[in-house]
Amino acid sequence: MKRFLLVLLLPLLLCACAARPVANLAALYDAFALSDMTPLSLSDLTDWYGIEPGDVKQAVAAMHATGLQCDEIVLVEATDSATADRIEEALQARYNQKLAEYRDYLPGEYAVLTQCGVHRRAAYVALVLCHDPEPRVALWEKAVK
Amino acid sequence: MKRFLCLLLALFALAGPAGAAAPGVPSGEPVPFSYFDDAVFIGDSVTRKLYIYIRERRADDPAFMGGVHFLTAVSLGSGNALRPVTEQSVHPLCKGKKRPLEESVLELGARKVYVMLGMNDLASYSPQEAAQNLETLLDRILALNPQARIFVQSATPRMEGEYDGCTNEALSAYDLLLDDLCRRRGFDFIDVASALRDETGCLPAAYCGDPDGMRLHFNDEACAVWVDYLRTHVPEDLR
Repeated sequence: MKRFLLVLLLPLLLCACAARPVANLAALYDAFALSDMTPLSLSDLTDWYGIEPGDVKQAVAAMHATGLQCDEIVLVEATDSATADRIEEALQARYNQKLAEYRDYLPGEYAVLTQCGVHRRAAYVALVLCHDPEPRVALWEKAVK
Repeated sequence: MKRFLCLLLALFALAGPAGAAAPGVPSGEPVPFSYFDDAVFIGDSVTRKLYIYIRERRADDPAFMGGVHFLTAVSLGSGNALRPVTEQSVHPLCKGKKRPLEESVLELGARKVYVMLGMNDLASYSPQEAAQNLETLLDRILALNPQARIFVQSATPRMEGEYDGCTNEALSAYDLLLDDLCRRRGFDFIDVASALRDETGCLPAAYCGDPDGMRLHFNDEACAVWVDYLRTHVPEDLR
């Protein structure tokens, strides 16, 4: 009987282990502990990055409150892999544009941007542009692995 | 002496050419926020701050400034906006794609196009060249968006100080040319700068968000003045 139960439960256990835990992006963003950031809405995500509300299961985005410092965060869980591909492309375009707009304008901020970038794991995509990005990216990787 | 010149230019800018009416759309009752539903604001880092300010105000008032859109890049100017779109160009992203401004306006379906550019241009161009570049840019926008109504905002002043290129004198001279451009072409001139100059023609410290930096960006108080000016300076036929 025990053997039978084990055979029955084994596939379920394997499935449970294989299922990717859902990262809470709002909590993750809070853990980034960035100051002077202004949250962006879902309609802002559409205007800037072409991300429609139906493209995401969850999303958090913010920009630096001065409008001048380069800090910008976008954390997205896309509805599927194909949508995540498109979002990754849009966030990469934003990153490249951001480099261009700061290159000859604020060299210090440009230097910060060169250390930043876009990150992707399965349906999760992140644009992490901030001073000292490494610990934030490490938090993101831990949350979505 | 510079302060005196600055004051003279500002007074001249306010008064307008001899015999002409005061510059810009006159003041009236504030319009509702829904007026901005079909508007897009094109600008540089100064306008980016307005974008941020509106998002902050929406935390308490979700309808603040309606459905207004923004096309901004911190180093945007008329000069670099006229260049082709490339990986290195500064054109703002619109819906995930870098496009010429006229195409972005079309993509957003905007019918009111508010433009404030010039601060970045005056570092590289004379006021005359910068105004000419802006006129070319507006022509491109109109060619692709014939339904659009153009609102040219004056370029706002800097705090008192020593600057290269983008001085308050150059900004005042540029604003005069923008007023003239609007009169010639039938655009609406929105003289926002007039609400943000002190008695010497400079940006008051109380409105400056970067007094230890470039001394030209706004804080929330200045943005509140800006929004109030926009709401009260609307052409009669659109009220």
